[in-house]
Amino acid sequence: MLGLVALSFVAGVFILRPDWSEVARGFVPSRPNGEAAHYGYLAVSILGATISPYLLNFYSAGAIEDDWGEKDVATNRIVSVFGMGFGSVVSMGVLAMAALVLAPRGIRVEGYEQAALILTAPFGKWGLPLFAASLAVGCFGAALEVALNLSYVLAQALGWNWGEDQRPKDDARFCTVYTVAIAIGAILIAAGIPPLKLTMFSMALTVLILPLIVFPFLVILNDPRYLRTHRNGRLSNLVVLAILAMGAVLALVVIPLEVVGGR
Amino acid sequence: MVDELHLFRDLLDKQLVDGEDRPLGKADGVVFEIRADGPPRLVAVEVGASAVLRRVSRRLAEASARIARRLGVGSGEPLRVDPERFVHFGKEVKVDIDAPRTAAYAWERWLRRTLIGRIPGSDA
Repeated sequence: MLGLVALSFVAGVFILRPDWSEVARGFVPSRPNGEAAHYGYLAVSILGATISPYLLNFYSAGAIEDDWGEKDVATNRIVSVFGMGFGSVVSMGVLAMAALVLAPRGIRVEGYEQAALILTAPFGKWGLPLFAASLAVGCFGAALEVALNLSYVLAQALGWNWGEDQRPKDDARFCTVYTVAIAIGAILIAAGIPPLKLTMFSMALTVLILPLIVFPFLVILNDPRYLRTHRNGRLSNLVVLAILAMGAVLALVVIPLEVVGGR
Repeated sequence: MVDELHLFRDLLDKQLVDGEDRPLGKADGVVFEIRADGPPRLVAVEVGASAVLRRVSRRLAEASARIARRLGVGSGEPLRVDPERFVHFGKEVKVDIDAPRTAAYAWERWLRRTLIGRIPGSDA
């Protein structure tokens, strides 16, 4: 529920009353004017943030733990459509706000503190607290999810006892992994690595490993022994494969360019 | 029991669970006895970090065992499960053994004792 604060980005767009046809045109991918590599890098990062492979493990681990069955399929369709929809709308809000507020002033965001300006234009002095709250809620949730996901992956790959519902004492290895993961993450950030650059870089890397994670899922999604009537259609398969291939190829090209060209 | 067991398809890297469906670990290694008077015979299935690491490199396996011994986790040797104890082969392989009492849980017990058990709320 706290995540709803992120909707302030969307609200901000409405407050600023942009030219809607301009906004719509902005969402159609266009050829970058100069800096094609950096533009591609941004695109890959956004793709990585939208379809993070960890979500697949994380969600399935939850499904095992809560013992979902066929009756839960409908609920999950709704949750995934609304969840992804919410995320996409917020991302579009952020993009539109950046274009409306930052671009005309010639500001290039190099750190989170500059990005905060986005919300001060529509909300005045409330902008900074709103931005901070959105970032805090987002980061807090992501940190817990990603750390927990690391525990799920290791425990399931190595055959340990695991479960979020167990007492920590009863799955000590599982708990150690997420505890240590959060500690390492905190140390890296405290050591002074710029958080925005680190986020972008990991999101881009995510796209590289996406095919490795998603492809096995795709195989299961098409296995009639597992899913009977609920398996993927030909169109969904095609869309998934196309996104995977496009993302991986783009990531392979632009990540080295971004690292070498490192600004 | 199945009539025919395919080592890779039905056993190696499969999840092992005990009689109460508690995870024991993965089937990390298999040990055969070479006999003069007959075909090789499966004598044990190994479970543990050093067993899985030995498939990559002997040195890594020894290093992992050394770390376990030095920290007082246990012998560092993999748990060896007698094939007699295998009761069912399926998506998981069921073994007649008390999982939490075996060497496969050495790290689990060590981490509980030295780290997790000391964090307030670990009992909740």
